[in-house]
Amino acid sequence: MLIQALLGGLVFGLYFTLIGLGLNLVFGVMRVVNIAQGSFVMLGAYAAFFAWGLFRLHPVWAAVAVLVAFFVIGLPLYYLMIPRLQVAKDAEMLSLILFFGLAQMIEAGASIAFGSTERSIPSIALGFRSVTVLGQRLPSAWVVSAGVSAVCVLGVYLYLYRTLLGTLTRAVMVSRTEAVASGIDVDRVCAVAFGVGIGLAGVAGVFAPFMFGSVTPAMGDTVNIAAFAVIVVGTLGNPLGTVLGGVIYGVSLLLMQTYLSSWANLLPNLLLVAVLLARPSGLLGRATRNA
Amino acid sequence: MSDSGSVLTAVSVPIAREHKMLLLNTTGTGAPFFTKDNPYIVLLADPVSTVWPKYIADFIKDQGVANGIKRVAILYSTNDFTNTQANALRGFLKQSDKVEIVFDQGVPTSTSNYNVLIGNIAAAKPDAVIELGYVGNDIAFLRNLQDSGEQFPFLFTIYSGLEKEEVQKNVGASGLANVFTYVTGAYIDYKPTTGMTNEEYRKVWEATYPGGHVEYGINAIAGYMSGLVIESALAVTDSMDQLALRKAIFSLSGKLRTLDGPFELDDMGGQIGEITPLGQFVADGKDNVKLNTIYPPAFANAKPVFETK
Repeated sequence: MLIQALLGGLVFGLYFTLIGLGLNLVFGVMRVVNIAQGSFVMLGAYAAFFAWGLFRLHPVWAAVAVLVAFFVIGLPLYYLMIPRLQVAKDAEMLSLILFFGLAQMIEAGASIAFGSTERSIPSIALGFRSVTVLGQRLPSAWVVSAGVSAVCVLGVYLYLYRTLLGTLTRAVMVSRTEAVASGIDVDRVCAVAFGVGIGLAGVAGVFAPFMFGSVTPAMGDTVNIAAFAVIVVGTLGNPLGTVLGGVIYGVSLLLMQTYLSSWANLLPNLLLVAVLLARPSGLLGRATRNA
Repeated sequence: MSDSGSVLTAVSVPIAREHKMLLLNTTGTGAPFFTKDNPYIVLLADPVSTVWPKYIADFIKDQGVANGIKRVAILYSTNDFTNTQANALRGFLKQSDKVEIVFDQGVPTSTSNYNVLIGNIAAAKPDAVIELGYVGNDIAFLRNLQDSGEQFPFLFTIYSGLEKEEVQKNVGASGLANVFTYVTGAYIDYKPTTGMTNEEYRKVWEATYPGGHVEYGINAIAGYMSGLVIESALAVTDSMDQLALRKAIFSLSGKLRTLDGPFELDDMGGQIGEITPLGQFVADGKDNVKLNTIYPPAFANAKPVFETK
């Protein structure tokens, strides 16, 4: 049972990395809290549901389509919302309120459009049901979503550390004011980062019907709680620290399910409190500040 | 209060009591809501949750043991609705010395992934697995079970019977085959003395909600039944005073038969006339399943099938 919890938690945690990755990128670059992240995950889930239902589109291809579509949606959304926020005195706090409102609108709209009952995609859509690793059977959804998550993490790493745009993005992450003074088109850099963040949320959503069993328009809040635990543990503002946060979250969750199942939903809060008390800047805090 | 389960009801009960307003409780069946010192609640459509698992336990003791069902695993969500059922089931099963509970764990209702739990259950080598959760829990559990490849001779979930359309849409017919569940009024003709028959009501429902946006199931029936009971109570009440309304509803107890069966209340306002027979889904063609009633014998229309490993 221990090996199953550890191995499963490692793979399962990579999915939560994917959920938190976009949220952390947006916070790292813009210092705004996109509390509507869970709603974009939900929209990604419905996009995959309809892509499968209407066109029998494989979830991996659906993820590619959703990444592009959500990125494109994210660009105008950025220009509509974020620049106005950035001139406010307390942008972080105001962003909470603004994105909370956006999340409510998205959830209500989705309930009207899709209904409130559970929706899912059959596991066989992924092509296989399970994989045996070290004698432990892992569901196909865990393996595929972990693989996609790894690709996304690699993509974000390459974007941040191997492209000119990424260099500019990291400059904005260190100091927006200095980036503006240096002549960087901060809005363009931030718009791309915001689009990528929304795109990653959509990709996470594509696999949500498999990872959560089913989805409803109200799933966003649950996703947000997990996402915040992951990014705070991994280090708020450090997108790559999300990997560590996700793995710790996944392993801890499955260990709790195995040995203390009734208390498993306390875990995100316990992790948040523990990290905030012991290391408020997150487990990779120092790396973030010097990025 | 229209609340499938007991989450909203849990907060409504003390509020209604505080303000001395009668809580017309449609489907909030958690047993803790009904107490002798609170007259401001009445359960209209479903039986209190302590009643629900009686026939599961009776079946296992009467017929299951003879068919090798002796080791039972209970996995339940920790909310009023399913926690109460788990407690009641545990109590019923412990009355028999031939049945052993080998796994008994609660999980948060928000649980959406059961893979590790299924592995842990399998390690306990049960003959029967009884999973008590809300619809989202049951869907996730049944999907994870399919993916895991594990099989248990007797597998029970609540919502596969209560919201068959929704669960089947999510887990497929193969995921429901041979699963035991509760048989609701949608599958048994109780010959109602008020309102439409099940067939008539379903036609109206499907015309009202075309396209499967809102699935037909126990909640569809419960809402309609509540409306009929309230209509009947208003016709006989002395006044609109809250306790007069309660008295009017109680005056219907034992005299009304609905799509859910006999409408009968205990002195605390709990619904006890309606029952939840045990049923089992069996394959019906390639892409469908049908629900047979297995227990009690008075309602049974088929023999149980025990999944072989």
